[in-house]
Amino acid sequence: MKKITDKKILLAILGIFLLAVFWRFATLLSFPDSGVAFKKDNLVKVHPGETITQKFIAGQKGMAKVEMLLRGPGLQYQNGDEMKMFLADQNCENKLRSGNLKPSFLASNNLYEFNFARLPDSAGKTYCLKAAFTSKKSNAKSLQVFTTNDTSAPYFLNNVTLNLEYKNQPLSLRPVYGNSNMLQDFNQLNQRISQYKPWFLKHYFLWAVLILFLALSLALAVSLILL
Amino acid sequence: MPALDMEVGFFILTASQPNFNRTIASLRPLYYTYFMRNKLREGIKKPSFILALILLVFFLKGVFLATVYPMFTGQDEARHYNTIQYLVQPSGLNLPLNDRYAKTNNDNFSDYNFSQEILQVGQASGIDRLRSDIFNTINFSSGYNGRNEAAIDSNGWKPYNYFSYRDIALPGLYHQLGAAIEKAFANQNILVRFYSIRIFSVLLGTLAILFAYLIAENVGFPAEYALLLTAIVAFQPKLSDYFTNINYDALLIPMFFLFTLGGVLALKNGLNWKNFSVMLLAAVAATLTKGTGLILCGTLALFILYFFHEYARRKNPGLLRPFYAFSVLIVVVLFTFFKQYLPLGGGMGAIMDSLAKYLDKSLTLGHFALTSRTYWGSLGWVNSWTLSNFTDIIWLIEFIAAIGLVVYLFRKDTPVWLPEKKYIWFLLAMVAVLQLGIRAYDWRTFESTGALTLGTPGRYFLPSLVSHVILVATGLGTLLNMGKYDRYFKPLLAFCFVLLFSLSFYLIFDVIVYRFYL
Repeated sequence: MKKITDKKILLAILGIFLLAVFWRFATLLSFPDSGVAFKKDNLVKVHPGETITQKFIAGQKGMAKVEMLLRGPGLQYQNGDEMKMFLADQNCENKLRSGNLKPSFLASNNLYEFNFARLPDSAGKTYCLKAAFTSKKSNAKSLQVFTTNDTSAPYFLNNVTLNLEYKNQPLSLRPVYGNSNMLQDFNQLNQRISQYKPWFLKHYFLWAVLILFLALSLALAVSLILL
Repeated sequence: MPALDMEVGFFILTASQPNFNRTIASLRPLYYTYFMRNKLREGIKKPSFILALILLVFFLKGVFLATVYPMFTGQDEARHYNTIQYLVQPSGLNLPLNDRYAKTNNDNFSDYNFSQEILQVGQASGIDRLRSDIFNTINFSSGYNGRNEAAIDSNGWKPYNYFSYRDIALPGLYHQLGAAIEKAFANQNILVRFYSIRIFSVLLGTLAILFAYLIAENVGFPAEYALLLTAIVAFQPKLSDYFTNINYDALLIPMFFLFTLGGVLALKNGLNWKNFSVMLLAAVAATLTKGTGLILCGTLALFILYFFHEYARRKNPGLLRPFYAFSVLIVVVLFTFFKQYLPLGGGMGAIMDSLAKYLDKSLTLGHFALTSRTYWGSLGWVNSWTLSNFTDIIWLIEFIAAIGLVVYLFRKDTPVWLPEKKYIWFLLAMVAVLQLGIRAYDWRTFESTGALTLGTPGRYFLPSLVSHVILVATGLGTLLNMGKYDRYFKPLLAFCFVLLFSLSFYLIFDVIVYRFYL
């Protein structure tokens, strides 16, 4: 049996950490519709057992997530709070995706997200989002969901429906899209980072800087460990 | 030596074969490949090669981070860039000035008293949306150019300040150097000018890393330990982050490192005109950059006194009495000069009362934790167990190292692979003077405003980072030496490097890129 030296252990630790970092990055690699700026204009109260519905048009293909804003403290998981999410077709009948609303990785106690398997042909299609709030606590407080006064956004149809009608108040929600493969994701990320940068920090130059940085950093780390 | 053995081996093998010349010719490519590979292996282990790699990686990391951070998102960056633009602004323009007072912490970017170009470009690039909440990004277009980038490229806005009360920092040496870059690219759009100055900050950071290596090497660490310590400094997250901004600290920090290097060289070789010049240059440059640099001027004066004392003690004890009298005079002069930066008005009672109130507010665990977290570059942008807890691990390492350092200072014999005590005392003094200087100024601000308006954010203490890392390494090395575990020192340093390396990557990709672009 080969001796496990401290150098091999350090190389293994480095490999594990870097794998964890880039694995995490791969899970974060999706593109919120940047045309939507979240606003906390008004609030809709949702009591346990109630469902809110919002129709919207997906602007791009590959929708894989929907983000929503809840007022703090949001879902109290310790009380068994749950926001069951359903994505259906424009008639709100045929369920396409379902899941639970979860807090975002961003340090905001308002932002929540509903992840689902990517819809490749979502561009231009109308979807119906239903959010059903349940709680195991008998006297649970209502959940407060933010709506927006911005009716100019082209993605929101009708108003939030609950028991009452809320005039001109779509939910503060934002679709998130992903590409069919990681190379397309990296290309799109390169495009985003390149915007409002000088020519020598855009596109191919940015790729060059990034690739050199990654390759040489790894070489340096290995060299120092094997020193 | 493997290369030499291979050469001899090839000679013996080929000389005994018939058709000697043809065999030699056919084996030559294999021989050279093996020879070159061995040369390469030896080459890449040379300290100079690895040092070059550290510097190159730091530079590339800095350029990438400078690219990732949107315009004006660095610490006080718009203010510092506005200062640079103001220095370049031609005099005698007779511009119509707005009398609006300069306010800080505005919700809208347009409420700041910056130049027309900065205000317009900031808004065009979507900075208000970015600043509105952590979950908002700018409105991206579908290509490589931003929605309003054509307007920015057209250079239609004036880099002139149209306010009577301009929001600028006190212009210093860094701003003058930045102004030279701004002038050199005057016919280019703001994107070229702005990011060129950011890259200039990265270059200054790369220089700082070079100084860090020279300090570690000259205090007595063997080359491989010095390289590991340099790499630890190079991957300290806050340091890398800070050098991607347009901020005068990008020049202050390398000057502090240079001063420390000068002091180490003086302790090593004796005070001579070379290392005195290095220290004087660093102290003057730091002072011309930011007020904090005055600390170095005072330290230089005390350092010279120390050398004169050592000279008198060794060569001419008769000089000691006049020297002590002269020292008292120097200390009085220094105190008289630095008194203006301390709230020493009123009697001793009032001073002690003021100090007690200040320490009561500032010396709390919460403040210490916040200073430490910001010093190490923790960003509160994501819900991350790693970012919430990594400073706890660092504090544990520092606590253990502190014990080791105390043991080291009282030990009679110290390992040859650790610095001599004179260097450790000097580095401790460098940490202490920076701490005292910053906290003294914070006390003065507290006295005049009644609140901790300046505070002690961690970035203020980055100038003593190299001293800090070397002190921690010495403490840990001492403890290992006590247990006869010297051979674990290099793996321990390498492990600390791996942790910081991984943390840097986590911050760059999973936090910074994520926050601004995903």
